Amino acid sequence: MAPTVSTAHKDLLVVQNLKTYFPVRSGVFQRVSAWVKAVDDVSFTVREGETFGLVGESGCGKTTVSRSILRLIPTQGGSVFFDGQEVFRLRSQELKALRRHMQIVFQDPYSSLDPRMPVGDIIAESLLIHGVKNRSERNAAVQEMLAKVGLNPYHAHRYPHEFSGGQRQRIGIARALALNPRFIVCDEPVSALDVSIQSQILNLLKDLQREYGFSYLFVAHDLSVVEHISDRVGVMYLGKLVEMAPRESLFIEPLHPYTRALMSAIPVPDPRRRRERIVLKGEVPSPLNPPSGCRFHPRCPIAQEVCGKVEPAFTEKRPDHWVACHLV
Amino acid sequence: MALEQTTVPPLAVSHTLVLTNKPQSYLDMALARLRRDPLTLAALAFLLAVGLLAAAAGPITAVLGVDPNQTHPANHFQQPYLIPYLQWLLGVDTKTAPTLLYRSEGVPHWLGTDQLGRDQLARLLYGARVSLSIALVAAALSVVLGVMVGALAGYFGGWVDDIVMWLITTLTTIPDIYLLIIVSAIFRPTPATLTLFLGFLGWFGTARLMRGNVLKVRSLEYTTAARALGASNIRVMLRHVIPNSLPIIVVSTTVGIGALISAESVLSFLGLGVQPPTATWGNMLYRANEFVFLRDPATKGFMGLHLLFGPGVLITLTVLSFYLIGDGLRDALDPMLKNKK
Repeated sequence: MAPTVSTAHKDLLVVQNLKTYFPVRSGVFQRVSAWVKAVDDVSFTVREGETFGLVGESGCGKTTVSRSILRLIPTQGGSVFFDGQEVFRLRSQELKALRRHMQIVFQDPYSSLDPRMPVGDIIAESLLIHGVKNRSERNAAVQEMLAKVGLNPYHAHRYPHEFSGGQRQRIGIARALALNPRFIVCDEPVSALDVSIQSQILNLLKDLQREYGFSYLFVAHDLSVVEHISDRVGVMYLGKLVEMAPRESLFIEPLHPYTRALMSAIPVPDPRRRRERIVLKGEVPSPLNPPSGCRFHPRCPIAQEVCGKVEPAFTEKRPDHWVACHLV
Repeated sequence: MALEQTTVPPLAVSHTLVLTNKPQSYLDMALARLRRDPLTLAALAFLLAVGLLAAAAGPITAVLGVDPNQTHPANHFQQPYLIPYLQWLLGVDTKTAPTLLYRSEGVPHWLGTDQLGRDQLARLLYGARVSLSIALVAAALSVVLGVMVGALAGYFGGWVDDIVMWLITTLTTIPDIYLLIIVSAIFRPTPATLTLFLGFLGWFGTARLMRGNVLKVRSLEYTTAARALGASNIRVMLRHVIPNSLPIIVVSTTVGIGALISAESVLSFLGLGVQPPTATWGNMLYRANEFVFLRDPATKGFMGLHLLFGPGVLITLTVLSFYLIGDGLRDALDPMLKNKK
C-alpha cells in the first residue's frame, strides 16, 4: 500500500533536540521551583508526502511535541526546520506566512470549533486571515472544502452543535485544508470518535493525502490506528523518543522493550491465536522527577544495572530503525 | 408506518428543500428567537414607551400647559385629576373635577401636584430623561471599561492579570456608597458628574466576570486553532473571545442598568443624588417619602400618597424590564437554543 522505505523523499520537517518544559511555580512570588520535562530532547524528521505516526501513552508528551512544532506553546530548546526555515527563529510576520503551510487537526471535535460561528465562517477564517478579501471567492473555497471532506454545501450556514462528532471532525479537517498546507499535524484526530466513525475519518485523511500529497504528523495512542495510517512510526515514553522505524519493521520486529510491551497489548481478532502478553509493572513515573539513566528502567522487564545509570543513546540499530536501549 | 414513509422525502429532494431555506445570519436568528418570547417583547415595549414619552416630554407638557419647575404654592398637594375626571365622564361625581380644575386655574394636573404645586406628570417625564440617561450612559461606560479590562487581564494573564485583579479586589473592599459619599462631597452632584462616578465605579463586577470567562474561552481549543491559522491576538479577541462572552456582557449590562436606576434613587434618598429642582425619579421618590403620612386636617385624607406612586411604579417596572430583556437577549443570542421552544 504505502511505500516501504520513503528515503527517496526529501525531509520536510526536521525536529532537532526539541525540549519543552513547563515551569512549576510555587510560593507567594510564584517563583519557578521545578520544571516538568514534558518533551526532553526529541529528534525526528517527517519526509515529504509521508505520514509519521507518534505513539505513546497519555502524558508521554506526544501532544506537546505537536504543539511545540507549530509554535503554539513556548519551548526551552532545540530547533525545528520546516523546508529549511528555522521555525523557532521566525518573526511574527514570517511565522504567519509559514502557518499557511503547517496546519493542525485537533483531538476534541467539540471544543475545537467556535460554538458561535457558522461552519462556513470557521472554514473561511484562515482565508480571511491570510488576505482573501473577496467574499464570493471565500464562499467558493468553503463549498469546495465541504465537498472534499464529504459534507454538503448547505452545512456552511449551520452551527457546530448541529453536527455529530464525526461531522465536526470533518469540519476541523476542512478548516486545516483551506489554506492548502503542505504539512498537517493530526493530534489524536480519531480518539474522541466511535470506532465505526474512526475508520471513515482515517480513510478521509488518507484519501486527501493521496490527492494533495501533504505530510502528516499523526499523534495517537491507538497502535492499530497508527499501523493503519503511518509510513514511519516514533514511539515516545516519558518525554523521550525510544524507538523510530518504518511501519513494517516496527510492527514486525519491535526492538525496544517498551514497544514490545505495547505491541503485545494490541488485540488480535483471532480467538485461537495465543500471544504472550507483556504486562508492565508499576505506573508511569512523573516527568517532574524522571528516573535516572534510561527512563524506562524501573518498569523494564529486562533491565540491567547499567540502565539505571547511563542514559542510552538513540542509535540506528538496523537500517532506518532507531532505538534508545542498551540491550538491543 | 405507511404514513411516515410518504412524509419523508427522498434524499435528493430533502437537499434541495434545505437549500431553498434562506441562510440565517446570526442577527436573523436572534431576532427570530426574540419574536417568540412575549415576556421580553412586553418588557421591550414598556421601555420603548417610557423612552418615547421621555423624549417627547417637551411637546407633551406644552400641550398640557404644564411645566416641571413652575411652582404654584397655593395649589400644592393637589390630588390626581385623572380619577375625578373619569368619575365626571361617567356621571358618578360631577363636582370634584370642576373644583380641582378651578383650583389649578384651568390646567388639568393628571397625576396631581407636589408640595410646591408643580405638575407631577411633567416632573415624571423630565425625570425619566435624567434617570434613564444617567443609567444608560453609566452602564455603557462601565461595560466598555469592564469588558476591556477583564478581557485584557484574562487573555494576557501573568502580571497584567495580577495588577488588574489586585486593583479590583482593593476597590471592591471599599463599599460603593462610601466612595460615592466621598466623591459627592468633593464635586457637586449634577447629572454629568453622577454618570461619571457611577460609570467609573461600576465596572469591577463586569471586569471580574469577563476575566473568568476569557480564561475559560482561552483554554478551549478553538482559540488555539485560530492561533494556528495565524490569527493575531486582536483577531482572536474580537472574533472568538468577545462573541463567546456575549451572554455575560449582555446580562451584566442589563442588570447593570437596572442596578444604576436603583443606585440613582438610593443616592437621592441620601441627598447625594442630583439636586433639586432638577427632577429625577430618585429624588422625586425621596421627596415623596417625607409626605407619606401627611393628612388633610379637614378631610383626614392622605395628601402626598399620590407622589409616591408614580416614581415608585416607574422605577420598579423599568428595572424589572431591563432584567427581563437581559434574560431574553441571553437566550436569543445563543445559537444552541436556536430551534428550541
